[in-house]
Amino acid sequence: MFDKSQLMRGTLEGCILKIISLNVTYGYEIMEKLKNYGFDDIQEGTIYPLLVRLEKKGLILAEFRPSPLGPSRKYYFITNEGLETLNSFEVYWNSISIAVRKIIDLEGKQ
Amino acid sequence: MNLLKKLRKENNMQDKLLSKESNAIITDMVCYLRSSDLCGYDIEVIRKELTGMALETQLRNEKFNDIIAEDYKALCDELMKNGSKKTRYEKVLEIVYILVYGIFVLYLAEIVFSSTIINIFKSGQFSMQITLGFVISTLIAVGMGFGVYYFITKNSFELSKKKRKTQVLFIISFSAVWTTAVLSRLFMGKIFLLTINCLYPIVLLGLASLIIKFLNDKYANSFFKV
Repeated sequence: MFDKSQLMRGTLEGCILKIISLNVTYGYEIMEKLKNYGFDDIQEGTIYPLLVRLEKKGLILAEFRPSPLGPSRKYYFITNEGLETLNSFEVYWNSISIAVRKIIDLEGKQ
Repeated sequence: MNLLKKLRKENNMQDKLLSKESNAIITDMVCYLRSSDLCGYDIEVIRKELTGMALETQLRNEKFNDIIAEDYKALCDELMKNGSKKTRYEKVLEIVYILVYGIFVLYLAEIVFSSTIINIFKSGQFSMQITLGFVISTLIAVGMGFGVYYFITKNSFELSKKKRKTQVLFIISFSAVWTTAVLSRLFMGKIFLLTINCLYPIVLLGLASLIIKFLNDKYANSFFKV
């Protein structure tokens, strides 16, 4: 069985950066968006360490703000470094996804 | 004022709003994180975020364990990898803090439970005999404090799942070390090493405590200036 965790980690980081680049947002909302785009088995616990990692790398910034539900919520913003990383992720993803698609579409020569 | 303590206090207040299930999960996770090299500030920030997540799930009528990954330990390991590590300075401060307070408490107990306290009140004599039994049992007790802390934090998930093997191991080790401490206190209680004025160590340990508290507060507050 294919171990998807390694592939997911790098891919998710890029997707999270993209979502944050569009709007200032928070963990639960990021998870909902990822689910809406087809990452069905994503949980808040999956993306939380990735957000911590991105924050430590200086690609995003975070700030606690009061939420309408009560407890204060951590909102994330993208940094200039994060935007640069996102751009290079997009370029790399486009080239690699085309290459992978070509390989997957190969007809077997038995 | 120590801002880290303030954050800890705020987290304690938020904990009270958590459901029993969420509280148990977060307690185990934070306990396990404390066994790591993660700096105290990061642990409290993670705690604040986890508590916030848990409270929101409660308000959405969902279960906290449904929104975080099933393997809490793996999630904590991932957080440990990404967080800021304790500096050598922070580690030394932490160890010295426990040592000084541990010795201070045991020393006060020695004064209260030995003839020293009677001498003070009866004849105003502040002299106190330090025995080998006291020194050895104090060292064992302080070492046991470190051991218990490490064992509980490292095995928080196993202990709360009531794993029999871990619990039995804990009880046997604890009883064995405790018995050794008590026996050494009893059997070496007559081997006198030196006679001192009992007020000197109190002043020294008190001063050391104040200095460590000052350094701790200064270091903890440095995280909040960023």
